[in-house]
Amino acid sequence: MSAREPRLPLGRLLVLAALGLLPACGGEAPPTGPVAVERAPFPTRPVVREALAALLAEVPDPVIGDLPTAEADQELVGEVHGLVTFLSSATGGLVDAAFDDIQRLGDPAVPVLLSIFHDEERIRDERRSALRLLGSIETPTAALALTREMADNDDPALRALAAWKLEGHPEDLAVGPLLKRIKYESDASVVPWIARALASHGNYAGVEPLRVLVEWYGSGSEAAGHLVSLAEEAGFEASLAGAAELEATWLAADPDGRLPTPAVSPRRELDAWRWIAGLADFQLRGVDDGRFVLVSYGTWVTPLLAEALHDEDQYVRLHVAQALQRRGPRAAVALPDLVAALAEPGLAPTAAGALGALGNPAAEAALVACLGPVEPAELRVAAARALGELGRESSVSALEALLAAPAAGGPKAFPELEQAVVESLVRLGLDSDLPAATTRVPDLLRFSRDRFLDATTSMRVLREWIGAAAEAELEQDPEPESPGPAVTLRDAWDALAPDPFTPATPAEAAERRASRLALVEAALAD
Amino acid sequence: MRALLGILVLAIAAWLALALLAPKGSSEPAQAFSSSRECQTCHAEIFAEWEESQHAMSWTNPAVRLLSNDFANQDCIDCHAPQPVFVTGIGNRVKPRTLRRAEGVDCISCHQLPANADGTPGGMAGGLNNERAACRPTERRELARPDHCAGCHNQHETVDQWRESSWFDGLGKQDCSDCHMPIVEGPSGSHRSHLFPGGDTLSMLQRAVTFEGAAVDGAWQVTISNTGGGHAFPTDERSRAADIFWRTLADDGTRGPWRHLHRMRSPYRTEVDVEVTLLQADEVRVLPVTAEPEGLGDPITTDVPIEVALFYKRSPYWIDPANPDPETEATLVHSLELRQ
Repeated sequence: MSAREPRLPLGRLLVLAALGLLPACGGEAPPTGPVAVERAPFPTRPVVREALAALLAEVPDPVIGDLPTAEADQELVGEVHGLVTFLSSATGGLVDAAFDDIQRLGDPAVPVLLSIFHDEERIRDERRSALRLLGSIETPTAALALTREMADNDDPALRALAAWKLEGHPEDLAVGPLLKRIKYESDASVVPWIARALASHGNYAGVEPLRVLVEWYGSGSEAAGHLVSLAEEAGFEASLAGAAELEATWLAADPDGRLPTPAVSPRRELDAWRWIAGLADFQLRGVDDGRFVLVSYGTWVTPLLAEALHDEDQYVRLHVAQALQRRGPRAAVALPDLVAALAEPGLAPTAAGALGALGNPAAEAALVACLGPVEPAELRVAAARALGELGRESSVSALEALLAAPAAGGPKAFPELEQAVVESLVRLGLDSDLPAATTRVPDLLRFSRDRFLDATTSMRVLREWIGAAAEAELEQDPEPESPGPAVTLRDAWDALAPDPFTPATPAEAAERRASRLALVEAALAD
Repeated sequence: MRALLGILVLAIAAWLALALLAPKGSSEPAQAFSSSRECQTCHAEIFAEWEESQHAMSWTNPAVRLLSNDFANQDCIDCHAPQPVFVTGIGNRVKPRTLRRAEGVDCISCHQLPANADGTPGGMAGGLNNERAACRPTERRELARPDHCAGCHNQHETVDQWRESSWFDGLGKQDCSDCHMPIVEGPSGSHRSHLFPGGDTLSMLQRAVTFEGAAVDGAWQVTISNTGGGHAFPTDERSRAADIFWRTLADDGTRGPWRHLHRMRSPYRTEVDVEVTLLQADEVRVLPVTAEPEGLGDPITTDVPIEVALFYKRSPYWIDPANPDPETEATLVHSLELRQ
């Protein structure tokens, strides 16, 4: 027998037999209890290094040359300067002639245009013309130069101009940097142009920040106009409702194939692998940027992430799993790799969390199998939480069976597991069995008061329960003469919300929590 | 007979001494610890210190939760609920844990050693070896070295700032534990404090910088010197800020409104138009007192008596940025009255 051949250890079989949880063979009944599984080993290899090397051999990085100084190049320099001056005053069809000319000059013109653009002695129109001409050169080098200005220029108007010129640019290497920029962009006038540039490359991650701008500035704002036109260009209704549908379609991984899907170039793929490689960096700020970009890419990146889950670097594996978790349904094809990752102890809890976020019913059995007493504590808790996130009613029986398990190894002897199981049971009951969920609320109160448990998760579930109860009450009587007890409780709970901009002291936070828990307790007593 | 009795008593005493003092159970593995509360039984004094520390609150502190968007900023989790540093590797970046997050940076985060090759618990790192204690402490000098802190605190470049300062290799060199884990006396003897005093402790803020005022060419100026910080003041945590304000002093004792003079801070990444103005270790910064912030406006001449003050903020924002109220929104560190 080779070392890799899976085998069933006697100990696990005995545990299963003792618990009476061995499921009957065959059939498609939902899993009813913790089923210990022997997982195949999870080999790792230099996935990222190999991918980077292969892509770099295929598409070398563009290089922006130095400003020409040789006598022979002065004709080129003069011609570029002439085009800039000309474009600054030209109108109509003459403009197109300038763009055609610069396209003919190609990459050698790039450093000359950049020198003009960065020359603060020049008038603003000429500097802007240099950037416009740069955007008309359809090469990777020009796209790289534009991308850097979009990402790093201090002047919002010039960042917006660079983003505008990246819209529809034949080179798509800017998508990653555009995504990072939109994370940090604090100037509302730049955001729409970044969103448009992204959309032109089939990426609709810019729709959400545009929607936030519309919430701030109103439906008559410039951002609203951009949002509506983005919806229309993507084939949706030309309205804010159409934009909302576009956003939902993007986040749901476009199940009906409605969104345009431009081909992804090797350079964009190379950029994605570089973001993945960066997940191993020491500085977490860069890691967070990488995670954000990888979460915001289209579905084409999921197979890359699934592959990177097997990388030799533990940090890459961990953060890739987190990125898959955040991608949710847009990471659906990573399911087999995430299930395999449950065999890697350092990765398993995060992989379980990601499986819960995929929204794929096929993840349920693998998660239920992680609940067993032979599994590591971290994995059991993560799996219990993930089942609550996955939202399958069929998971209730497995969680209830676990809660009823004997004290040793069961949740009663392991408060954090009990908390995770109860929270998931409450969440699963909100839609299907609100009374059953309500019977577990006193446990949530108990967890929220335990200094050694994370009160915030129980408080969050409590608020979900309050919201569901209020909705159920309003469904029964949409226009009551006076608010019912659940609506009253919800309003009183929300009235205790902290100021979102001023940090509370620990004492103030504890007092607020105590007040909220007292409200729930009083409501239950009634 | 008496001699026999004496021998018997001696034998019993020797047996008792052996039974009590001989290494007991040294072949047994260390106890597995799943929560820091289990440490409290033997280390009540140190546990009580830790419970009051920022480390204990790193997950639950409302300010942290607000500034991390309730940990939606996932990069904060790694250090605010880290896996054991010895397990991840000294000097390596820490990794986030899934369990015990409410315990923050706890005993296990810093002291737990990797499991043995056979999977049994590896015990705890400590200041001495003790095979009789349940946690089987092993003396590990790394515990008190800056690299042990660096996995988290160098995310804010604090350790790098220290390495570039005179505190690293100067005459009076000191490291993290000298200031943040001073030796204290307690009922159980002397030990390194687990309160981890830092920016939350006024005396630490006061000793980090010196603050002086002077009349130069008929106008007021202040000098702030990072003589005791050991790293930048404030360090690179973007949520921290130190601000200098001034106000007029009237003859009748009344004081004018506070006016902002200078801010020391490293901005968030979103604040592209804000400069890094941290006061680096050993740096001396001279600031003319002017009518407008950051040296703008007319200099304040020495015929105007003023009060100048240094405030420390644990959140960079003011409730009303146009009218900041440092006395209620920040901590007063130093104050000077300047009169001719």
